Amino acid sequence: MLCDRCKKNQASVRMQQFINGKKSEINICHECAYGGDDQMNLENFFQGLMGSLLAHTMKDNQFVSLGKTGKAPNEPECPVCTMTYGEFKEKGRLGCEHCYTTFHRQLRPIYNSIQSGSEHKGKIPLRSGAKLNLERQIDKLSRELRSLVEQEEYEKAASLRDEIRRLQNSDSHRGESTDDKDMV
Amino acid sequence: MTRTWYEDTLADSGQIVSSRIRLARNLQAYYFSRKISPDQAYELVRHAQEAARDAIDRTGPLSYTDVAELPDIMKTAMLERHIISAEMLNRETCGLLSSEDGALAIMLNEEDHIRIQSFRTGDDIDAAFEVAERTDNALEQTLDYAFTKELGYLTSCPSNTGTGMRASFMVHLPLLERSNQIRNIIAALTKFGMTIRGVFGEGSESAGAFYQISNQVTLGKSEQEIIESLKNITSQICEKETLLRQKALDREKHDILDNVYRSYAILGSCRRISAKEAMSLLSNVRLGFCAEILEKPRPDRSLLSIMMNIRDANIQILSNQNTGESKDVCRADYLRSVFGT
Repeated sequence: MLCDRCKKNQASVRMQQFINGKKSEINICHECAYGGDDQMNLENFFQGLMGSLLAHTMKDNQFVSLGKTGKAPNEPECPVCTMTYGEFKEKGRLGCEHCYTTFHRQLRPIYNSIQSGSEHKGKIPLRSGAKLNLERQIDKLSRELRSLVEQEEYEKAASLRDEIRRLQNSDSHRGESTDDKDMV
Repeated sequence: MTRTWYEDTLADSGQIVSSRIRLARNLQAYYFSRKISPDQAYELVRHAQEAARDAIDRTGPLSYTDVAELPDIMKTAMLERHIISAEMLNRETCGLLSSEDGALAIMLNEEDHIRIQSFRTGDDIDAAFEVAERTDNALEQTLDYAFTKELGYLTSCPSNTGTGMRASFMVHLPLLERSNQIRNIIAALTKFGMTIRGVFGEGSESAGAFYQISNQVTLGKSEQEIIESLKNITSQICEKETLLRQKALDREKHDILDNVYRSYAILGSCRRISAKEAMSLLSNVRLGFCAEILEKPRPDRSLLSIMMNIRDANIQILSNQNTGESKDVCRADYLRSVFGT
């Protein structure tokens, strides 16, 4: 079987994609999948893959990018950095952090197919994300609290509830102190 | 003089040659690499250097290299040693902050604004992560990262968003490669959100059966979950390699011994050798040392460092380009100096 990408070599890697619940397969050769020896080739590979993924998922692909010469009237464009969806599709790179909001609808299939869901579960910046870290901790304890109540472990649940309240209070105090600091 | 991290002979002791963590970070105030202007790029690099200076008590001293200003051969040599990416070869403004032993290397204005790389010899990914994490926390004290609660660290390529982390092991798998089972592993790993590919080869080839196993998934899993999955998968692959090695040593010990000893002898006496052949011989010698069947003096530096030194740009720099000798002759001279008696 010939490679779906270069159409030259024998395909040796089968990639399965689940897009909007629909399974599809592409067969590519080793060279296309893992070509080159530099550190960044995996990303290059993803860029190619992303182009094909996006092409498959945009069923309502009513706009056609005109590349450097301009853009179709209804093609999404980032209001901050002016990157168009066509440019992103071509290069596989976004122009700025706001592109994530602009192309949110188009990017979702990528998360669902090559990532493990579309919700961040990793680290949060310590300084700028202090509030988020606390929120995440409160969310986690709240889930544990619900589970304890379901199991009728009321004593443990009460202690957990107090802990959650303590964290919620520290959160509001943190907000006050930050505001104070900002005012000074 | 401090030895570079990859000279440590711990890199020659098992199937895992080295461990690496890479964290991709971008700053709120600047466009990503596709859209950044030359002025912004200059300012970004300056800004990140300033943050690194403020973080010195936690990162240790880091020296700055203006990569864009380096001669091409120096850049290629750094690429061959995996210190910088191909992306940086043609950039007008980019730099590298690195520790004295090179185990911590921070690329500035690469595909992402900041890419923190932390290396360790052997099976030591937790230590690599600890350093990368500490560096990240230290830089973040004065830098505002592009981050959202839902998508995590926002990266130039959406395939890196979330943790922005690639964790990887470099592994030596000569028996899996010889039996062609590596192809099945390559196909199977994508199901686990992992990937495996050749390193050190020209083009798509793996030279000397060295492979890099790394995570593909960066969103929807925590850093620890990603690292644990990687460890788990890698240890299963290494177990398979060990089994094949035991079988091979039981069934064809003399063939393997012959191959290993011949390789050592050629490395110590060659007069002209290609990178590809040298890598294959070094791979055999490494197998001999790891399986403890090669009773010959070990080089005073790691085989990993020798493999980096014999690559095209590195050997030219090492052997002084002005000699006029071909790379293959310089490579043979260098290898004889290491393995010759």
